[in-house]
Amino acid sequence: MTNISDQPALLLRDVKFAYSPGGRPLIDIPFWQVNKGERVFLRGASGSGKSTLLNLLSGMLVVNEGQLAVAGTLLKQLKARQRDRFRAKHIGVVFQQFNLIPYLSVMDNVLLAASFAGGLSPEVKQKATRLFEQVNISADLYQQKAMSLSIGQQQRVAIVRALLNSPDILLVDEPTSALDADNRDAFMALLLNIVSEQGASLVFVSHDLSLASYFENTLELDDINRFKIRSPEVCAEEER
Amino acid sequence: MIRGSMFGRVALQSLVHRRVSVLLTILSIAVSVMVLLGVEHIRQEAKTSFSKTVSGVDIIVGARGGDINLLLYSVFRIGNATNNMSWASYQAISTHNKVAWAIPLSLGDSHQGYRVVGTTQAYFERFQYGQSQSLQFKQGKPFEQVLDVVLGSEVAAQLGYQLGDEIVLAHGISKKSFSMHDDMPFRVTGILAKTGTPVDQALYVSLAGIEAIHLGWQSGVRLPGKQVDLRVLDGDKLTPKSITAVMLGLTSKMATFQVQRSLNEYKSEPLTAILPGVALSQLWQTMAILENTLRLVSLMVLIASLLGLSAMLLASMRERENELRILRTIGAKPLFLFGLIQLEALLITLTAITLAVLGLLGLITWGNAWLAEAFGMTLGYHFLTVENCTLLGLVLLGALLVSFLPGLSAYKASLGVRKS
Repeated sequence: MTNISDQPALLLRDVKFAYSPGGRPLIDIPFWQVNKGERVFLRGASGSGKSTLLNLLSGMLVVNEGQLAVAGTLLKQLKARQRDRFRAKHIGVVFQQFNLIPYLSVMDNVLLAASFAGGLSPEVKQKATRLFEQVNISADLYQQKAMSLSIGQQQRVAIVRALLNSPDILLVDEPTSALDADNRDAFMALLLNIVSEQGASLVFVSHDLSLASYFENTLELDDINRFKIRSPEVCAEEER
Repeated sequence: MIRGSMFGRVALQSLVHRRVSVLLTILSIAVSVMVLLGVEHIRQEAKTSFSKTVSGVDIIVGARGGDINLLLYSVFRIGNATNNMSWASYQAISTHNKVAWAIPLSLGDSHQGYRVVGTTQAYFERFQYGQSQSLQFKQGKPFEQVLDVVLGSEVAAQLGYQLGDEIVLAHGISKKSFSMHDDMPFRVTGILAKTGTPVDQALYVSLAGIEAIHLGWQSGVRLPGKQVDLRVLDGDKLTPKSITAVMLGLTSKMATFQVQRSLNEYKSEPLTAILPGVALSQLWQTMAILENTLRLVSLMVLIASLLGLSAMLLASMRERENELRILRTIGAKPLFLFGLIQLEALLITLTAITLAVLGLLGLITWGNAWLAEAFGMTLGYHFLTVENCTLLGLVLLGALLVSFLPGLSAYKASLGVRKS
């Protein structure tokens, strides 16, 4: 068996995906690789297949053709429940907004993710506390309901939750779109700092090129995805 | 273990989050479960209470009429006899060689809405209720003089009578009777212990007493100028011409049907003889339609409220789309989401059942005071019988069943399979 740690964080080869079987593939990527520890800025306008790609990378959707491996594991070969478990353990996701379950406390939101990854231990709680400190979430917020937090605070809690299980890769989708400029810069600095400390790879998806300056690698989704025709139907499909 | 507690916590917090709609759903289910449980309980209690009312009486005889009517007026003091039976027939029957004892009953008068029963001392010695329990005196003793009266416990308690008090009986059984036997007041000589049966709701006087107050009366009206002097009353004048009914105890149970038949074919007068148990089951049969209608209605109410639960959960799915997506993203299996909805339905229903049980307990406590006064019966608190618990189990099962649809909707939404 190959050692997972030697594998690239992401490896896509001849990946094709269409929502309807036999339909024109929305995602058609001949080759794309993200190395371990690499941090990539992926620019894509809406309608370019961004959300679909993220759903494929996180295993919520499965490719029709080709190979998609996360940390050396081909997601398609896993059974559905194995894939759910794999996602809990190896993939962290932060969305644009609505990252937290509104009625659970900050701490429960984070620990729930840990429980899906295999269990709650005192160490996990300690790690959560440490991560909370790093993203400036003070202890008096732990027991507050997630919905009582500001958007900025919620996004920072979302980072903690995504990183708690030490994932191989962190997928981030426009996390700053709901933040003002000051908060955005602070958030970016914090995110990159904590990701490099955790040694995770990062795929940061955004349409906002001004954020690209934080990254060593910038990619256009259109450069890796051969599908480029943006028909209104596709846009609608993406929006959903 | 830890995972399980997290699962429960998510379900619980989610319900608390939507507390208004959840609370309304809980109340709607609680009310319908209470109705269902209440109907079942009253049904069962009425049966046991009715069958507890008379014991040890083998045959009841009255003038020719309906079986159930005879049972109702002789035992339950509901309704009236249309005819009386003659004193001669009573004497013949009570001395029959297969008859061990006889309790004559003479009905038709009242006191403040409580019925007066004219009878003999045999009533206190022979009449039994519940599991062959005899009547007990709480105070005093049976009537001896013509104008002595014994009170049922409820009568004494409600009207506040003591031993030695004098009371006036009214002609007829209406609470607002204008024909009073006020020329002949009765003296209280005894008060019976509580039985929880119609016995508590009546006053007991001797047959001679009934005759005495009707001397000088004709067709329910006192004849003017006919004053009766008690001192000149003799036993002969006070022998009744007729009575309403008679309760019989036989020397041998084996003879029951034979005696019943010979009484039904009695030559000198048309009579009806019934076996209390058989008449009671006839009564249940006539009540069956009403019973089943009540059960059906309460079942429908329950189904409606369970459908309400399903609708509430289904409607919440829309606002919970994000929540379900988040749960999937952090690794929840679709089955977890399905289970989450089912658990929520279960928690709602369990809470509702608990509320319903508490509500029914409260309702029984509150209603018993009125029931005792109106019907001489009270409801017990032991409604969590095996039968009723099975019913509650079925309610839970029903809740799981109706939440299958919202559960499935959560499951499907989470699969990420979008149809184009």
